[in-house]
Amino acid sequence: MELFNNLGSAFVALLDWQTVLVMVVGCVLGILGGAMPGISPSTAVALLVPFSYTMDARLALIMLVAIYQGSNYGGAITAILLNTPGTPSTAATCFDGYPLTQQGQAGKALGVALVGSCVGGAVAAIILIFFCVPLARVALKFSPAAYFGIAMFGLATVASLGGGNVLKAMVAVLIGLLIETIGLDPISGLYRFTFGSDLLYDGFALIPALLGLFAVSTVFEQFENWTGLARIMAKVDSILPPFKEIWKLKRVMFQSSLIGTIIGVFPGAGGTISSFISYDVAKRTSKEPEKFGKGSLEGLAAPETADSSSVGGALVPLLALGIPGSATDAVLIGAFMLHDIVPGPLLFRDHPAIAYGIFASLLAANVLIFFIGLYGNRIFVKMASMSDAVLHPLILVVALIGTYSVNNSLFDIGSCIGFGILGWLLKRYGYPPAPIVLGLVLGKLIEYNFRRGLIMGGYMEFIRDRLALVVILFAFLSIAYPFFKQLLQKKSNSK
Amino acid sequence: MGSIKFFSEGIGLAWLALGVLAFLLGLGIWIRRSRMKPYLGNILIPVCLMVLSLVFLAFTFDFPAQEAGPAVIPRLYVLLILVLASIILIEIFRGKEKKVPRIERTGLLALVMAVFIGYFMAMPFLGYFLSTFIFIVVMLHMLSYRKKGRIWMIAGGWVIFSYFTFYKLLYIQLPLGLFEGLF
Repeated sequence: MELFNNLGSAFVALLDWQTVLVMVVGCVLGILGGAMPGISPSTAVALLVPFSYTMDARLALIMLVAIYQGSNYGGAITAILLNTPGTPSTAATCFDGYPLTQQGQAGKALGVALVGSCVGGAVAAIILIFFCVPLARVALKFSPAAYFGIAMFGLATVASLGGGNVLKAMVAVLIGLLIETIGLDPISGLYRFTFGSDLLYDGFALIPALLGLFAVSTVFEQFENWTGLARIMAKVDSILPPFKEIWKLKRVMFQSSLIGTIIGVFPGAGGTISSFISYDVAKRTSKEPEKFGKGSLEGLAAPETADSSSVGGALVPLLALGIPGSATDAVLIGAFMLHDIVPGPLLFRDHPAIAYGIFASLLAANVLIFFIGLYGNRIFVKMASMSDAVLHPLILVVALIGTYSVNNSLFDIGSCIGFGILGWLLKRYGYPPAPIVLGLVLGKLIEYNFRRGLIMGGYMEFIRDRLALVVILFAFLSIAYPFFKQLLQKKSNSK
Repeated sequence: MGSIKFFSEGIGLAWLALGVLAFLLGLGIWIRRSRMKPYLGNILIPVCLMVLSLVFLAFTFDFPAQEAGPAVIPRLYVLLILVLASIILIEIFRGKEKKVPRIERTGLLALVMAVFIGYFMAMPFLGYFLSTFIFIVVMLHMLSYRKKGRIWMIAGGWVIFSYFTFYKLLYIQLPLGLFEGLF
């Protein structure tokens, strides 16, 4: 009953003009960010996090979640029109989206992607609401040792962020974890690795690291093979197919929504995996599998719906346990931290307006995305065609101003540039930057709970506490699984 | 552990940084002359991480020795980095690592980084608005933006947009440099 009361209040609060405005702005910026190749959802959210600092925490988080949701649909625009996924998770959308464009049905393809995206997002939001609150209640009973295990489980996200090389992704996460130890020790109060500089007493701020690793490094990467060629896209509107055609896709959309949400819940799985799995399942269960890859509406709806629903799924571990389910979730944790709010089980007790506000806004954002996508597509296409020569310098300027805005600190700007160069260099040699952010975000949680567990009962505490033992074992299995998978793959390749 | 403390700040830290740089430079030169030349960056990254991890490890000996003390977690991370970076190095020397494609526009990339760092350095003196205007104009020229007339409009437009949005609406105290007191 408490759930429905809180949810009711949250929906009423959504009617406030400021909330509607931030949701619309969030959806528009999200779609736009997603539509620009090279800007991932995490980059889009990271660029906007600092500007939410002066906003009310509820409004800020509602806007950022709207950006996250919007960017998933935005990614489909370039995937369909240019055969270039705007976000990595829309790669599977290209399979049937682009053939439809080649057949002169780009508007219809955009329409189906829009409907799929909104249905997936809405179904996931409903599942999120009913799954998150009970999970958070259970998590309230976790001991520090169990929480250490949960945080370790969050590191399993690394597996999907590694881009194939799990070893390098693990090194990247350790870099983030080690950087996070710089500054004041959370338990003893000792200053560690500050090298005599008072600028490092609080360690490196998260926002400069986020913007450096996600935005600045991405821009540097674009200049490696700069051609300066403009993107030319046909200016088309989304055309909503007849209801009969949409109704035919109901099974695929529902099935993909469930797949996307369930896979999204597991840290590390995320939109890319869920969209590929949904595409595969849709093809296997379709009455017309031969049409897949040649412009099948089912083939387009499946990955798009799953991708969008993975957002709601990924928010489950973030809101209920405080661990990120995806790279964008790691950025969102940064936004929570910026407003002195700790995501996790206590969020529902201490900040119900924010927790339930996110639930309600996620549902509402999908309705907004539907109308914005339907009527604003021509503008998004025009803006996504913006020359990279203009876009990249502006991203650098926004990253710097965003970094500066949080603490008014030039040291933070220097850190942002440093992290940008580090991120670019590491990315170049196969070390993904997203796990570094994951390490920075989870570092304090891991250290604090690990050492509290040690203080409570030494190393045996992690074995005595049954729940902790199970979670830790599960976490290690999740981390070790990709290593074994890679090893088996290598063996089968060598045969 | 007094000797470790000497290297943790001031002149000692400068010597340590110089030592690490000299070692990495020497290693880089050696790799460039060896058959492993195409893997220069691939090797230097894990080696660099190992050296820095060892530096961090050395500093932990200055922390109070307790079972759940401040040194426990950094040492664990350092140990894991050393192990994983060693495996990566072994893989490279066994020829399992792919060659990284060379950068096509090295000059442009270096120039972009230099201009970006210059923009940051100039900001405290020229202020955000003027330095940003110059940065955008320089970048668009460098990137051969074809519509020359629009360059000034884009830079000016952005400065006006940031003045009203960031400075007036969001109250971000942007550095004003020479123009302090003017706004």
